[in-house]
Amino acid sequence: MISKFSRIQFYLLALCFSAFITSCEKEEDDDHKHYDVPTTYVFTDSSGNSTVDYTGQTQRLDMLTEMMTYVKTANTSGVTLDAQKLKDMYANQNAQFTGAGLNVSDKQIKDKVFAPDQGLFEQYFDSIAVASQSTSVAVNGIAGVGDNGTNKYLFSANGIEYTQFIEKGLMGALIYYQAVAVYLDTDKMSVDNTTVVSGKFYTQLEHHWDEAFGYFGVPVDFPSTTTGSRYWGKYCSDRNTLLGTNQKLMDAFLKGRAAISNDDLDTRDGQIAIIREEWEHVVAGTAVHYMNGSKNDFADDALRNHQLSEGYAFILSLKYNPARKVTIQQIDYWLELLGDNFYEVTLTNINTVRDEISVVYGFESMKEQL
Amino acid sequence: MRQNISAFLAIILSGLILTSGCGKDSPNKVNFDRKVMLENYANNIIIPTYQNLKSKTDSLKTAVDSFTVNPSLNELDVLQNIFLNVYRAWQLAEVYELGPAKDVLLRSSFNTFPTDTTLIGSNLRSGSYNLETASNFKAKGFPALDFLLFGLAASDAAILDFYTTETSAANRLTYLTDIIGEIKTKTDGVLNFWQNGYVETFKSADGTDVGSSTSYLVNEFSYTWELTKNPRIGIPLGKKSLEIPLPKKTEAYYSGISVELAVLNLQNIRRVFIAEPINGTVQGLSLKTYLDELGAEHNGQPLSDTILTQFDLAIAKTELVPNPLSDAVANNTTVVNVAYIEIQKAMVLIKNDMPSAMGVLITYQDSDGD
Repeated sequence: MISKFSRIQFYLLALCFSAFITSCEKEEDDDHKHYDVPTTYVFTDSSGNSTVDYTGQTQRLDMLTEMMTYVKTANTSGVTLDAQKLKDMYANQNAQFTGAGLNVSDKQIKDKVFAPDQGLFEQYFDSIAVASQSTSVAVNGIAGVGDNGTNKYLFSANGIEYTQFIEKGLMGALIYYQAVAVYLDTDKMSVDNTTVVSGKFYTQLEHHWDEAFGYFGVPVDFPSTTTGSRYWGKYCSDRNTLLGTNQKLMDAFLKGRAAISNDDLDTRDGQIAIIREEWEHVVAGTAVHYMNGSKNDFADDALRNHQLSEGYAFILSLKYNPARKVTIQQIDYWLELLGDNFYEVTLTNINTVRDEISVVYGFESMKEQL
Repeated sequence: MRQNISAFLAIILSGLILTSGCGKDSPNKVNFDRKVMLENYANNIIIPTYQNLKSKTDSLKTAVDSFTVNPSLNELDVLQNIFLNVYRAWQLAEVYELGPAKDVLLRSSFNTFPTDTTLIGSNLRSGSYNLETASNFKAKGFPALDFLLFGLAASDAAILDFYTTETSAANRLTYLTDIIGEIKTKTDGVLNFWQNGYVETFKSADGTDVGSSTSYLVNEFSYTWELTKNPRIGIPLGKKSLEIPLPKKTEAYYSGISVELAVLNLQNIRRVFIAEPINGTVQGLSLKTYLDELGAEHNGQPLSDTILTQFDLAIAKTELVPNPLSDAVANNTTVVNVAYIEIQKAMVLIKNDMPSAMGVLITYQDSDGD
């Protein structure tokens, strides 16, 4: 009875808030120029042609997915990984993909990864291939598959799950970096916005914005639809209850794109700042989440090391944002506290990392529950 | 016309709601002082529970010191009995995994089961171990004591040999003492924290939002009941392993008091619900009186009544399971299953209905499987 009543109240509140927010938005737009911001990522020209295209981003996310499917086969003891195959997938050479159009695509992951870190992932491929050779059960000092009865993960001798270093690492060094540090940065945002690109329906500037959006990994009607979200889109949804990042990020992408199509670059710049800030909240919030997860499963070697590997890679990813709130020194310090042997990590250090990240990002009140 | 009126009303209403207190988290305007409730829990329930645990762990320390000086059958018997009393006292304290207990991860430090007997063996033989590192959490605490005091051999006389004449006897004694020392230190630390300032912190976070004390309490209340449902009973019963029983996964496997501990734990959750002190009569505000004040109902009945009825049923059915549980899950499956089902039935009431009525978010979760 009461819960039904409070739900109604909640809807009313939500309604009034949304009314409040949209009316705010309109007023703000009125200050500048008159144009509509759509509620889904659908933009058309005056003839009705879609001006949106981010197939290159979709293809790279597809490539990453195929790579990770292959990597995860080694979570079964006895299945070995071929480092060269991973390097081929990384650089899209020697036709390693099965998805339509991927092998013949001129896109690849490697050349879009933050240049100084391109080689790091090839080292990860070598390391995970070595770990996959082991047929032992994973324990401190011995690589192999760790199994807590429910979950199985491949660990190095030091309890590092390279699968996570690769996947979450590339979410940082490829996806996040390309979106917030490349496509939304000055160079890509200073291109032509008056001429339609030959053979297309969009301007170069519109296209760059779409490419940033394409890396977000969400359906065009996000967040009313979250099905189909992947990579950052999925993690954004996972943190949304406490951080409210879904609507903020989607609104910023929509508003910035509408601003570009209406040549309102001040508004666009405001949205870039929002995207960088909110996306960083997703990264940091997810890092805190995995610190808590490592804590909650502290005594379970497999689950703890799995979640620490994820958390480690998310913390590392914080560096790829040009507007980041942390210094490289802080990131390095946190990673140092987690150490290079996840069997020997201490609770005190996990608490310290979690607490310090929470201070930087204003998560203190929710840090236990993120 | 009718639409216009309702739209008009909605605007008026939303205006009212906005001005009357947006930002306040509670969906309920009821006359209930959560600060008073929290103070009642802190001073009359939680601190006495930790004091009880402390007096038992102090005795345990004395007993192990005495056993070290004079390792005899009589001293072993004393030590075993005191240990079982500590294990019982722990069932009453387990639910308060928040604040100082959460910081040191009291639950995982004290009660990670099943214990890793191989690791215990290699640790004590080498004489070189750090009980704080992650991988040693399954080689310490009550489950390790359960093994070291009841599981080394079939008879007490043979167990005593492991501390007198067997290989590594001296090291084993040291290991036993170290584990008990850690339990005492951590218990003292948490109690000390509560007695020197944490009560103030606890009662001042008197909202229902994430990070509030009510939120922590409600989450741990539900989580602890779930711990009896899954690790204590469900997992040994085979609920996560295709109904194939896993007797060795029971709590207190070696001493065989698993059912007694499970009953104590369930009874304690009932006690927490009504704010009944461990030695004394119910007084003051509780989660139950809060639910009543909110008018929370379930199928036309007060939700608190439904919860208490289901708690009583679950406790009664669990009491019917014969000790040891490790035997019952294999040979008395039906009785254990009935208990499991009644415990499970309470979950929806305390994990969904109660938090929803209170406007509290359940933030604990099973670990990500990805």
